[in-house]
Amino acid sequence: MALVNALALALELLQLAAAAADAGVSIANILNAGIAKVKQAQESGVDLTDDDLQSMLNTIKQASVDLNKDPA
Amino acid sequence: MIRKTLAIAVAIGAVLGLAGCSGSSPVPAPKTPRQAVFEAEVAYASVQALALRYVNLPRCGSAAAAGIKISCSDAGIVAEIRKVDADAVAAIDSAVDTAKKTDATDTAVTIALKGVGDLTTALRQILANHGITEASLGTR
Repeated sequence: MALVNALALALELLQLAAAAADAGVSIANILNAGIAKVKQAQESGVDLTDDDLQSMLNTIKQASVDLNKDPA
Repeated sequence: MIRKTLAIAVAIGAVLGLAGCSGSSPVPAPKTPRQAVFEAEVAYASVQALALRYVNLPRCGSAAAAGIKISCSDAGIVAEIRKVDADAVAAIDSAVDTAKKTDATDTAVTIALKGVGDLTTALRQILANHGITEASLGTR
């Protein structure tokens, strides 16, 4: 039963994520590119690599550096 | 094993749901720890991108902000954003390290992602509390 409940909850949450429409273009681009990469991994049967994880981490770290800069 | 993988899917679904995506692509349930961590990274990066747009606005009260009509960024809110972001980057870094380990367990990844999810929620909440959305910031 716990397994069924977890599956139902996961599906509900994922459907909620797919239906939410309050994000703009730049956020949608990030999400859609990420989603496409996961789909590609699932369809090809070749899992994401360390480089994939590291590349996204590097993007986040660079944005964090930018977050700590004050506007000119 | 299946239950743990589903737990990861639930955790990431929550993160992505809270990130508020556009709805143009259905979100696939992660099937491996790496996919779960990657989706958490993507969810945080999307919220972080919005925060960055706000932080990049001229500070309120500055000479640059006074001469333009677009909104400005409050120094106090910027400080809040920076604090959460620093914690989130550390949490994501740790989650990526965990997922890279060949002997990583689903439980370890799930625990790591809980922290990432909490901080993604915290950043999103800061932005929401102050009405910071892509619409409120205007087009680029």
